[in-house]
Amino acid sequence: MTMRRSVLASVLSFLLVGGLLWGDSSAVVTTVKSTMTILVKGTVNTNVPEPVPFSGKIQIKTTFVPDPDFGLPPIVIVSIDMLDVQGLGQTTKTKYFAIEEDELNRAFKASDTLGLTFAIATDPNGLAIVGTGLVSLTLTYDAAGNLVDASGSVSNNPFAPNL
Amino acid sequence: MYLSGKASKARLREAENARRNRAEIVKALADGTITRRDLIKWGLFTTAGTLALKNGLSPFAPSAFADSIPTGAPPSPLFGAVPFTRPMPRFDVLPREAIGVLNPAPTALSNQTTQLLNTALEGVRPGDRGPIEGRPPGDIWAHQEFTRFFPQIAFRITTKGATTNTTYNPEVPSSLNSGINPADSIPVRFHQTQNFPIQNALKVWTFNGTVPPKLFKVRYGEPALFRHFNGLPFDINENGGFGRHTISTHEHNGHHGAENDGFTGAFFFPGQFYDYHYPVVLAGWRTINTTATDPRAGGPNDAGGITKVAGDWHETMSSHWIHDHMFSFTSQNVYKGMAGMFNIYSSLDRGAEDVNDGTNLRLPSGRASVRGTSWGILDYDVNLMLADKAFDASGQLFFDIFQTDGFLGDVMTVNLAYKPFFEVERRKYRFRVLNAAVARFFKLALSDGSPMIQIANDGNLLPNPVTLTQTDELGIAERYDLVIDFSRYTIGDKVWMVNLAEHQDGKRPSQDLTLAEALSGTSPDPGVGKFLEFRIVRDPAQPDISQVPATLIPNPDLRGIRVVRERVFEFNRGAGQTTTDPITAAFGPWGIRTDNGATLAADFGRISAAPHAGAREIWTLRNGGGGWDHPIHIHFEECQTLARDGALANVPAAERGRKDVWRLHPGGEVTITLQFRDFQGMFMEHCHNTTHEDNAMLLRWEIDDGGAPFVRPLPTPIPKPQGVTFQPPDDILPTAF
Repeated sequence: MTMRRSVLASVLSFLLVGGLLWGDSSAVVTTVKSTMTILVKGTVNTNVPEPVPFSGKIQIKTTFVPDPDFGLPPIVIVSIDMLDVQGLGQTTKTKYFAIEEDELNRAFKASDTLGLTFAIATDPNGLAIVGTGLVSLTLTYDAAGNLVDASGSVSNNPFAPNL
Repeated sequence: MYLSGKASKARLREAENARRNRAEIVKALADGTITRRDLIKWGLFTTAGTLALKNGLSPFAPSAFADSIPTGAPPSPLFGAVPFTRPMPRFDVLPREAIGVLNPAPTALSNQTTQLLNTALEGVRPGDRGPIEGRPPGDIWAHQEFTRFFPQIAFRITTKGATTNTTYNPEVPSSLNSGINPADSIPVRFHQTQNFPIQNALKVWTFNGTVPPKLFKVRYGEPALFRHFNGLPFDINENGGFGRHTISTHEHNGHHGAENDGFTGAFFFPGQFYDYHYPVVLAGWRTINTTATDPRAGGPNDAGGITKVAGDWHETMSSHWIHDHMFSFTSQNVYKGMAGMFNIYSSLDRGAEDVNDGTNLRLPSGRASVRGTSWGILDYDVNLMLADKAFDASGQLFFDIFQTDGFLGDVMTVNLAYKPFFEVERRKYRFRVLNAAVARFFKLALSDGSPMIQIANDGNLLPNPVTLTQTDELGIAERYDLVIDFSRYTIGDKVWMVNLAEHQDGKRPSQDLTLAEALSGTSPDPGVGKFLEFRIVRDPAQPDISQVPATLIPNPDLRGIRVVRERVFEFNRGAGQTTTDPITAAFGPWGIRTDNGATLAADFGRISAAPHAGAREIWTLRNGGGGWDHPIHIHFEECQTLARDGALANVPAAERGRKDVWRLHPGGEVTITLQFRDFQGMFMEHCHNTTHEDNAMLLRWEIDDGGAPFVRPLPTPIPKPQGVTFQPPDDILPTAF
């Protein structure tokens, strides 16, 4: 049997039920936005010229986005900016800057843990790169999608054993 | 949902049967027994945009999983191919020929010399004749400023079915191409091992029919003529189940007249050619730096100096690509292989890191003193074309035309090679990364979490480089130029490029994974994880003297140019259609709502916007839903991003240069500004998830010059083998002019 007969059957079937299509329009999407600035600290010992205790502020913006059209689970767009995380080298007292700005679409869940690597540079523009570290964040949301708590810490980059 | 290779044999067999059934429908579509419009009318698509879960059409019907990766098919067979065991080929550089090789010589007006037509073409009777050039005839489609920017070089390509490459020219020595011997013949297969099938000539259609993908090299001050021959089968049925033999070629995102832009309705037929004239000019050349005195506005000349050109040097562009734009068939044709890249060289970005003239930014590329040419050196300047593919049981390229949310493949390729490796030296490299997928987004990181420096976005050098450890999502058609410094590794090390963006279907990424999650191997999406292996093999023979300056190209200053108009475009599902033209109107779930009007499906005969020539406008691009994302592309003009969700603070640093594609984000909106200058005609705006574009999220806008030299509004071209005719626009939105 060729598929063409099946196509014909489909045609008749759909004509009978009169199903037509594309008639649904997009539903209104109501997003929920939150902003939080938190302090983080921690020491990077590996992948840097010398141990560096870092501390400073991270700005976290979240946008909770439901999906009223398909009813799929909502997502949260998470923007992270290491605004002002710096450290002084324990040996040389050199100033080091943590460089990272990132945005992730995450599946919404009440508590989400993110581990993001960041560049370590000796200039604030991030071009004199000397190493990497890791910032770990725990984000907590309420049922409506508001960011209600955030915490974080700085540590070694676990992905770069050879650097 | 991903149908695992461990699924039961019955489920896999069921999926394979469904794939064959779909292929029969495709055949019925191709031979004209049924039409695309019929399928929609008959309800063979659901409101979710997927194939109806009946009649054995969906491989997942019993379990109601209409989406899969790959879309609509069981997992692709790999014939024993092992990741990271074959080298990644560099692009195949096209010959830059003297303009005199073109016969007949190019002309400003379309060449309407006729030829006898092949009767296998649709609507052709014995004895019918048609023009040799498919470009529409007449003044409106004549090359603008053809005399002023008369072409100095020529590119010739024939798009045709897969064939063996015997003329591969990577323009770098084998040592910089992972040991590939360019003298070896290269058949079209996605993994260069004997077990992996060679692709059928009906399944893969590429520029010249060969792989690797092709690279155009052009420079400011040297206008080019691209003669594109259509060597595809005359019979529309001979498409291997997907793809359309009529084509239109978009140089994304060239600043030239609309007749060269690959307008979706200006397609041409097998047996014809189309001359695309690329003046390679800086935007603003009519009004800024008109005497061409600023060395920053220029192209590299062969003597190591600068050919100064008119225009605004802040509009310098670098990394473009070139791809098919056939109305309703762009996704299929690009997926089939009609895509290449297009490097533009300038006095600022000349591709020779040792030319220290005070203008050249000296970005990683290679040394003129070593290569004997003072521009366009590719030694350490590498084009990467990312795309996900799928194969049927016999290993031939597979595409599912029935999924209107977006086709996803389960086989990651770079430069059309399955998960390859690339040998690098301990120094800085520039990678021009292109997302050439149909519906897949990428988010890139290195497997060790180490930094990259993004220097360009959508082919435009950023005002300042941005250091990051993972890129933003890379939407379809977006390009990120990344500098990676391999000097931090030791010889023998390996590091991988990793994709963090996980999909469940083609509507949008389901989520972005952390590096640990992506490397864990637990993602159900086969497109996630490592896809390109860098092998650090040696120290460079010469010290790395390339630079990444703290200032690259500041944005053009548009503050002094009055904004004359604001427009809002909302990208939605549930599109309606107000027109019925069988050639210009499309059907599909996707559409665009312009200035609070109705959400409309594409019709390239409809004018949705008509800015005045020379005017500056502000456009808001709004995503009408939360369940999908759209990478929206605006042709012709580069734009600056003013805000995301209403605030400049929401625009990341890597997006603060000029762009031509914006991911809207689920539920999000982007505000941009652009100025319409230098050339005129009809252009497009559309989603570059090409499945969305084809079904039918695309609109036409045109530059309104007040009536001269063009008529207003422009007539719509209707191509046929016997020649292009014109008809008035089907529809003009009330807010267009």
